[in-house]
Order: sequence, then structure tokens, then C-alpha cells
Amino acid sequence: MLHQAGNRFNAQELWQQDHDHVLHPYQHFDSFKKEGSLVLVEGDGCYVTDATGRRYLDGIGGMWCVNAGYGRKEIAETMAEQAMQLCYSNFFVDVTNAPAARLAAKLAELAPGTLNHVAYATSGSCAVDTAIRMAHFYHSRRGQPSRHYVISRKNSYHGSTYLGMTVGLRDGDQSPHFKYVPDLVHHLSAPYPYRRPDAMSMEAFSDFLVDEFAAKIAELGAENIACFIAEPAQASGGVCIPPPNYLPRMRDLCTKHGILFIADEIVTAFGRLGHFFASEAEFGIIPDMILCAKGLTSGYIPLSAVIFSDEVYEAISAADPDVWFTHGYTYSGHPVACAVALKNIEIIEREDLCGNAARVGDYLEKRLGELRDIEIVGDVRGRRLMMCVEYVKDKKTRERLPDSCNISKRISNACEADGLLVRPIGHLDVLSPPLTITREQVDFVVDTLKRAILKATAELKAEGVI
Amino acid sequence: MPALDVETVLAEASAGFAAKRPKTRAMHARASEVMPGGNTRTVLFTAPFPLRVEKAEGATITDIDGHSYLDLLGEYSAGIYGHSHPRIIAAAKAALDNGLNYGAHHEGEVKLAEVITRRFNMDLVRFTNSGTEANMMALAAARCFTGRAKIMPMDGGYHGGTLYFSHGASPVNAPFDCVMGQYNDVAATRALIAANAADLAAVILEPMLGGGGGISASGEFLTMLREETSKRGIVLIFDEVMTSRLHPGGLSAKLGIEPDLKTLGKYVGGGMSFGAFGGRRDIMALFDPTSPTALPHAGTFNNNTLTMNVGHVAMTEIYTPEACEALNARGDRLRERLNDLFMRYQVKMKAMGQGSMIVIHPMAGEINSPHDIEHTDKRLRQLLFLDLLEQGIYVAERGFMALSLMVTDADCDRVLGAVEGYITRQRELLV
Ligand SMILES: Cc1ncc(COP(=O)(O)O)c(C=O)c1O
Ligand SMILES: Cc1ncc(COP(=O)(O)O)c(C=O)c1O
Repeated sequence: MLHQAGNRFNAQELWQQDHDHVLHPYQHFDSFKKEGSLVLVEGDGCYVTDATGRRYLDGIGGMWCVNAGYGRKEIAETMAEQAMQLCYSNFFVDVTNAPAARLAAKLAELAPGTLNHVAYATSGSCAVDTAIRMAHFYHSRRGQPSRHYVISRKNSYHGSTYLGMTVGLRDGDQSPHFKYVPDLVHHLSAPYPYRRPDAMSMEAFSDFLVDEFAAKIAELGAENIACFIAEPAQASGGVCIPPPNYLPRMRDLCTKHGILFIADEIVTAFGRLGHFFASEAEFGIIPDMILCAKGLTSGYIPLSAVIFSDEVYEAISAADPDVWFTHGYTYSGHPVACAVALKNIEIIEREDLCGNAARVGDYLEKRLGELRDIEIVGDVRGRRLMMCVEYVKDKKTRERLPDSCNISKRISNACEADGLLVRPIGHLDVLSPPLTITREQVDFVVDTLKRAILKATAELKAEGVI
Repeated sequence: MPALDVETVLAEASAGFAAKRPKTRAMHARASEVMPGGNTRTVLFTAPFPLRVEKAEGATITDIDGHSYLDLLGEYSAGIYGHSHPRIIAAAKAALDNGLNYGAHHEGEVKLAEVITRRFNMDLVRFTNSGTEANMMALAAARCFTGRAKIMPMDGGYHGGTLYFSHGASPVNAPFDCVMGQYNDVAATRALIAANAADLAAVILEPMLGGGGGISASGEFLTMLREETSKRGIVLIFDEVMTSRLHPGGLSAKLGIEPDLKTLGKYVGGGMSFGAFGGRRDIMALFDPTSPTALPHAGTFNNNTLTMNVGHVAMTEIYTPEACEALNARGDRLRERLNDLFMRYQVKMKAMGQGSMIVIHPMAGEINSPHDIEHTDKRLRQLLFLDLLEQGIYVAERGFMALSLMVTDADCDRVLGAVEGYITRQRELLV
């Protein structure tokens, strides 16, 4: 294919159309009106190209999702073939299609423990909704309808539906201009080791978090709690790897009190940490439900899945002629999306992308570690291909830079000028590149990011901020 | 949209270049009346007609049509101080104030010789007027010292107008009897040395091919050369006319491999015409006039007061070891970023060289010897050259750049932006 994005697209026209007609997720109106959007038109491998022909290494992997990389002809062909063969099938009640059936079996094979059942949805947010509805349904079917509370954690992100936004709680997410579901969710502290109280050891921090959960259970009564939902490693809330043992201990508390453990693996599944699923392989727990989306189709098409256990299935499906699982979406089990997921999994297995993510991810961790010496770098953390850099004004006190510095955006803009996309979130820049990334590309990413951080550091000095 | 082809794009760029330079075109016609092709230094000629500069300052040159350019050609590595370094100008003035060319020995040559021998680890040194001359004299010294006739240059090597070995020997070469070594080919070259050992006076090469494309000799290759020549009494000559700028002690010091003789030129004379050869005491002593069998070494301008005095200031006050390291670090950064750019766009381009010397080739893949770049598309070199000129950046048409001390980080950013602009515009031709 010839690459000449710069000649084929009218960059200005596209920019204008977007500017005049689109409302983006998390749009910041003041700056959007002035600056509009970066118009992307092509992708191949780890790269994307904008409408003017500039290429970027996509250090964000789309939105932590283009795991197999851009421009996979096989996937495009699979889509086309399935669309020709059967573009859609009703999936309600008792109709299915071949890709959806095969994919469910494949997911059951890949998922840990007895997680052998799949409910499909179309987005991560919808998977979260589905899981929480299923948790309520499950307890009610077992004769415990009072179990309705959802325990979540600060700094978590679980999607952007009415329910998703109620469940998640990142700094600044809950705008006072929106409403949230009342009396449903309780938020525990975030397992955010970098910002744990001064002089607290990791073990003590883990104790603190687990004790807090135990106290919360005592306060609300286990008989009123439906589920605990957690990203095994918090993603957009700060790329936090929890203290060792924290997740197994939380799992134990859940088991002890009959609370369902829902692992939101929408970011961590499908290779980002070097495994198809991180819950067991990386963190040693087997949840009752695993949610996945994003990497499931490498972002080629929307699809999500709630993978749940035999035990949950037995309870919800116990004989009762009057019971229907009144939940589902028009596009649940969409044949084209499921066919893409199957092809995507085939590629990940065939090319051992989990292995590559492990090897190159370890290298990324090591190289990013070099940034720790820079004055404004407070922390470099994450695991393998899910990494971030946190900026501070003062390394010792971990005091943040004033918001007015717009530090992460300033640095991501400098990276963008040098052909690298990183994702600014609050005081962090986040990296989650495609799993196909090479060591040479990692070198480019780290060198470019480093230069941008050094430039920003010099600017902040000149501005008298530090 | 019709597919773009190199010919069309190049013809357009060429026409655009000509249209904007009426005075340059007229001057070229005038020059052609009195010089063959209007030119007196072949490498500077570019089609459709060469740039003609009116004045220069710092890192900027301005042509007679009034266009200004960031000068990255850096006078093929001689222009390390930029075009108007105040210390150079003051030193030249001071030298002139003391009178031009004495036709006698003076202190200036001693001071410069002291600096050079110390810095480049030579026992003794002799000055010439050019790198070519330095290499001619070094080879002559080796032949007289060994009593052997043949020399071994590398296929594709360049050591001056009369010592040019691309595809055999240039027709204007000095008529040496040559055995051609193969750059970076350890086995073949080792065998050739062995086969010709009895007749070989010298092996001469650049530890990194400068004008030949920024291709570095492998450590293994140089080690082999050092071992084989030592063992067989052959004089090993490193032409460091260009590469000496890559490290405070020259590239051989960086590599830790010492030849028997080294040649210098280019920037060492502070921008005045310059050459030098030197090294082992026993070889250089052949030129000692107090010896009854002394070899002659002539040259009206060998110790001209301008070069000697300005060179001394340049090497002690300007191109200090610290300045050398900083400049080469800047060049390394620029080269890395260029290669990152090429990787990102997956274009067939590659930046070679070391430190402050960078050569952009319109190809991808391994480049280990001059053969590897033989078949690159000349038209793509021309296109990059014309495109960068259009963006106000002057590099050599063959993709060669030598950063001067006047080039800043901001200039490097500008170069990256310009090369990226070229790539986005012409990517179809480059993938
Ligand atoms: C951990 C986690 N859960 C849920 C979601 C929501 O997914 P979606 O945006 O597909 O609704 C996201 C998306 O970023 C996520 O990171
Ligand atoms: C490696 C090398 N040797 C020798 C020379 C010849 O030097 P001069 O042009 O001063 O004769 C040059 C000049 O380009 C050179 O690059």
C-alpha cells in the first residue's frame, strides 16, 4: 500500500467538520474550541498517521487496546468475510451464531479456574453494567436479595455509563454537573503505593487496605454487599500495581463473606502484562467474574465479555419456570465482532505476543527506570506494557506541580511534536503501546519522552515554578 | 491522483531551484566562460547549476540571490568553527599584523606542532597545505621506509584528488601500484595482505569513511589490519583528515588502535588551508635534514604564518577536548533522532556516521562497506538536497553533514522538522 496520507486527505476540512459537529469523550470545551482535534487517518504496526501525513509511534496503543497492532490485513479480511457470510444474528433467548459460540468456548479455555461462561456486550462500560446486574441477579436467585452494595475503590475507572461512573471514582471524574446512582457504591482507598502515608511499609499498607475492607463489610453487613469490583492493576486511575498479597487477601475476604469478586481486566487482559489474563497469572487470584474488552478485539471492532464461573452460572440458572435473565443488548454476540476476536486471539497465540509483551515490556520497565533521576519525575511504575511516569514538584515530599503547569499535557505535546503519542492523565503520562513493539521502538519511546521531560523541566525552571 | 515518480518530482524541484535563482544562473554562465563547467572544485558542483554564496556568518550562508541557509555542509568537515568565529578572526588579524609568510622558521609552527603531536599522539609531525598532500607524503614516507613499492588503499576509499579509489583508481590519481583492500572484509583483506606482504609498503584507510558515506570500520577489521601490518613490517596509515574531529585524540584514540602514521587536514588549521602527517619517530626521522640521506619535503606554504598561528588558537582555545566532546554528543543526538524519524516513517533512509559527522543515505538495511551504498538512487539524494535547500538548509548533495560549533540544538530541531517535512511530502517515493 502506498502511504500518502498527506496528499489524500483534506486535513483542514476534516479538522473543521470535527470541530463543528463532534462531542468527544471527556471533551474540554475551552481548549477544544481553540485547538480542535488531531485527525488520524491511517495506522500500521505501532504507528498512526495524521491527515497531514505526520506519523507517530502510538505509545498509547489507541486507548490501551490496539494490542495486535494496526493494519492487520487478516483481521480486516476476517471482518469482510464474516460480514458477507452473516453480518448479524439475533442473539436473544435461543438464537446464536458460529463465531459467538466458538469464541465463548475459546474464552472459557483461556480464562482461569471455572470461569467457563460468557455474556457478551459491546463496550467495557456495558460489561461493567452486565456484571453488576448479574451480581444482583445471582444473590437474589440464591435467596439473598438484600445484597445490593457494590464495593469499589478510589482511583478506579469502570466505564462511563450512569452506573459505570457511579462505580468508578478517579480524581476529577465525578463532575458536579452530572448525577450518580445513589446509595449503591462504597469506595475504599486506592492501592496506590507511591502515595501511601509516609513511613508506612508496603506490608503495613496492604494491612491497612485489607482492614479497611473488613471494616466496611462489618459496617454495611455482608448480607447487604453484592460484589467487590477491582481492576487488578488500576489503569487510568494511575497505573497502580497493588502491594504484594493485597489482591489474594481481598479475594479471601470476598470468599469468606459471600461477596462476588469482579476483576475488571478490560485493560490488563489480552497480553498487556504478558498473559491472556492477569488475575491468576500475575496476581494469583481467581475472580468470580472477569470483564474484558479492548484487547479482546485489539480495538478493531467493539466487543466486550463478562466471563463468569460455573458456580455463578449454577445459581443463576437454577430451575425455575418463571425466571428469565432479562438483560442483553442488540449487539450481544455480534458475529463480525466475535469473528474478529477469534482471529485476534489466533494472532496473539501464533505470534506469541504475550511473550513479546513480557520480554519487551521488561525492557521498557528497565529503560523507563532511567527517567527516575530527572528532577520532576516522582515515580515510574507499572508492569511491562502498561506503564506511567508521575511528575512532581518535589521528589521528597511528593508534592504535585500546580495544575496550571499542565505538566502531563505539556510533555505529551512535546512528544507529539517528536512523533510519539503518550497519554496525559492528570499528573501522569501513560504508555500502553501495541504488544508488537520492538526494543528499538522502546528506545525511541524512552529517548523521546526523556527529552520532552527534560525540556519541560528546563521550562519550569525558567518560569520559576521549580 | 497519478502516482508520483522520482523523475517528475526531481524535475519540478530542479526547475523550482533554478527559477528562484536568476543571478546564480547568470553567474554560472559567466563562470563557465573561464572555468571548465564554471567550477574549480568538482565536489561542489550540483545540477542544474551550483549554489553561489555571497557571504557567510556563524552557521548561516547567503547566496547571491539573497537566500539564506543553515550551513550543515560545514566545508566537508573543515568548517568546524563556523564562518565568523570572533576568536579566529582576531587570531588571523594578529598573525597578519606580525607579517605574512617569512620564508623562514618561526615560533608559530613549533607551537602548533607541540599541540598536534600531544593531542593526536604523534612523535613527530610535518605540515603540508592539504590533506591530499599529507597523504601523498605519508605514502611516500612509507615506501622509502620499507623499500617496498605497493600500497593498499581500500576499495571505495578517498584520500584526496589524486588518491581516489572508487571502482579502481581515478584516472587523475598518482600512479601508485595498488592492491585494493576490501573495507570491513576481514578474511579477504587479510588474505590480500598475506599474498602481497613482500611488496606492500603501506595500508592506508580512514577509520571511518568520511566522504565515502560515514561507514565505520569494525573493531575486528582494524585489529586485523594492525596485527597483520605489524607482523609483516607494513606501515599502517590512518587518514584522520576528517575523523580526527570525532574525539579529542582523534578516532584512533577513541578506538584504542594506533597506526604508524596519521594524516590530518581540514579544521586543524583553524579554517586556513592545512595538512599534516606524522607518527612514529623512526619513520618521520627520514625527513630530518641533518641526516645525510634525508628525504626532501617541500612546500612554499607549509609553515605559512596564518595557518600556524590561527591553527594554534583554534586547537587550544576553541576546539578544546571539551568542545569536541560536546559537539560530537550533539551530532550523536541528531543522528539518533534522524534514525528514529526514519524508523517511525518506515522510509528507506538511514543516517550513518559518528559524532558530528552525519551522512543520510536513501536506503535501508545494513551498510558496512562502500559496496552497500553503490546502488542507492542518486536522484533521491538530489531530491533531499534540493528539498532541504528549499527549506533553507544546506547539506552536501551526497547527504553529508558536518556540524559546526555554531549549530545549536534549536538548529538540530529545525533540521529534524525539515527532514520530516520532506518525508511527509515524498513518502510515496521513499517507502
Ligand atoms: C478498567 C476499565 N474498565 C472499563 C472501561 C470502560 O470501557 P469502555 O470505554 O469500552 O466502555 C475502561 C476504559 O478505559 C477501563 O480502562
Ligand atoms: C579523508 C580525506 N583525506 C584527504 C582529503 C584531502 O584533503 P584536501 O582536500 O585538503 O586535499 C580529504 C578531503 O576531503 C578527506 O576527506
